[in-house]
Amino acid sequence: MTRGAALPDSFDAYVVGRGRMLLRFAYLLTGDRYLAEDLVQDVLARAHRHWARIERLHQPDSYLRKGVLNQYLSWRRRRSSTEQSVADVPEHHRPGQLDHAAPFAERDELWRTLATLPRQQRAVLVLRYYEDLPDEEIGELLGCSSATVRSHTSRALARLRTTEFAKNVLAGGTS
Amino acid sequence: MIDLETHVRARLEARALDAPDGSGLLTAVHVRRRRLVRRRRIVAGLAVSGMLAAIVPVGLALSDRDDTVRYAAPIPASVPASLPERIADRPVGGYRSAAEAPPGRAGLLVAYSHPAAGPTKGESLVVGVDRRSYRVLPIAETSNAYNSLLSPDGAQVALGEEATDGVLRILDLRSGAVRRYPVGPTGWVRPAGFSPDGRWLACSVAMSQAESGDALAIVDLRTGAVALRGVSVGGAVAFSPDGERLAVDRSDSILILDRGGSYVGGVPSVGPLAGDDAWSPDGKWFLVDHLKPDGDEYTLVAADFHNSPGQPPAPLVFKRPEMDATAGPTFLGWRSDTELVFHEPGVSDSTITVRSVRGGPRTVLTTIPGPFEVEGIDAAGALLRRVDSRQAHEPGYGSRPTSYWVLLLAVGAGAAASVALAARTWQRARSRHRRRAGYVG
Repeated sequence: MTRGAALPDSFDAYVVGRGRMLLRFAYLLTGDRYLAEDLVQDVLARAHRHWARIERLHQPDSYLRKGVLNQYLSWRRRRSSTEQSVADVPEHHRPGQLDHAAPFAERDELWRTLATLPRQQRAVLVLRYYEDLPDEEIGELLGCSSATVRSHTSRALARLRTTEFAKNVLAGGTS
Repeated sequence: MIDLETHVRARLEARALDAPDGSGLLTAVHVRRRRLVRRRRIVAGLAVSGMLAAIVPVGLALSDRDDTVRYAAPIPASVPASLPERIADRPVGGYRSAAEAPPGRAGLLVAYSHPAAGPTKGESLVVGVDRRSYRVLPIAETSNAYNSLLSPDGAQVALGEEATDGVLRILDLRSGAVRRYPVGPTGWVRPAGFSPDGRWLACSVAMSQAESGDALAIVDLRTGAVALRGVSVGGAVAFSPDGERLAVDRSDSILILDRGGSYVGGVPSVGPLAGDDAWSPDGKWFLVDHLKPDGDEYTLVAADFHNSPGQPPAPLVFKRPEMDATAGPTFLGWRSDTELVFHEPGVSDSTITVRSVRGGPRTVLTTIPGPFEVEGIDAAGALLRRVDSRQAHEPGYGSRPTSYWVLLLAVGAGAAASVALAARTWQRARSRHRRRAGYVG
């Protein structure tokens, strides 16, 4: 495949087709819509340069998910200084755009507690419960052992158990 | 536990629906990609600029060090020619070396001993023509410094080291670089006289380990070519004003050679040549030091006795009672066709003076204070024509040279460029590692 010919169409088609998947993943990691967009755009812009090679491996999803994860874990750039826990502040929205989940989010204590977790723990929860990846694969993605993944999971769940929501769930109630 | 995990999974799936819908993502990605490309180009440009900033000045500095010997006479009018009215005293801790902190052109070269330098230690001092700069030559012994010669333009010093390797060393006072010229087969090399343009240097060279076996070497400082002639050089060698001929001191006569070392003629003399500037600027006379029991008489001898320029002026007489009992005056050069510059020892201080060939009162240019015991002295002959002397309030003993800051800047830029490149390389290596680690699916 030559970059000049097939690459742009292929890349564009991928972004159009799979961009939302990446945005969801990034949103769950960051808890911030703008941050998620920024992160995904950055990863895709960097991936464009090597798209031919990425495509040859037939696993662009895996590659880009890894890229988003790395970018999230090592987010040290301009936006990082403005990144804040959604547990502390209301979510931001574009002017004029309605967010129907906002009233619900205000009450979503589990979600807000999730946002206060350390990045590694939060990433482990997202990879395990949203992406349904096994611990070994999560460990490879995060560059740690599966035992560490389990440790992160355990700690994260222990933290979540301290919420009123979790106490209700554990007591047999509903959310 | 199971219930909580189920709820976490459900909540994440529910919240995932609130993620941005991705409209406009493609346009945003391409905008960012173009910005990224621009940024990469800027970073690459900066890295290349940094490398060039490191390489070019270093290269220039190195090339300047390799080609530091300049031969251009006449000396530009912008070159200062000023000596201090009085040589400043030796600083506590001593001077910096001219090789480490080049002073620029020098007007005087003084081999001396000084009480502050220790009872037996002597140094060889150059005094800059900015009348402020003082440095020592990078040679150890005062007795050897006596043999050092300052070039006519004050930019170079032929080091009078007691070399045992047959190598002539030329120190450039503007850069601190030392150039080495293999001149003789073995033993010492004694500089005897610069040509007026500073390109040629006549040396006395040992041809064997024996003290007596010496020869005349005429060194082209531009090319390193050496012409060796079997002429024993006891004293000074003076080049003619046009640099084409050499006058070699032969005690009772003066031997005249062309620049290639071929014999041209001889002139009877009443005494040894007065120094490497003994040939008068108009080319008509040699100044010879006619030693008398009660003092020194500096006499002009016709350079071409077949076509005598006329009756020479009366000798300049220096009576011994006027001076130190053991040291006589030293001729330094010509201030004009009729004015001579001497170093004259005194009872306490010694002086650099100007005297007319027709006699009359002397003019003191510079005073060398008493603690300095002058053992040898030379001056930049071409600069003497317009040198003046002024009071200098703040002597300079050697700040960092410009080349030091240029090199420092270059090294800094190089280090910055290296760090940038290393960071970039590391970033790429990390990206590669992550890419490999990413394909786990």
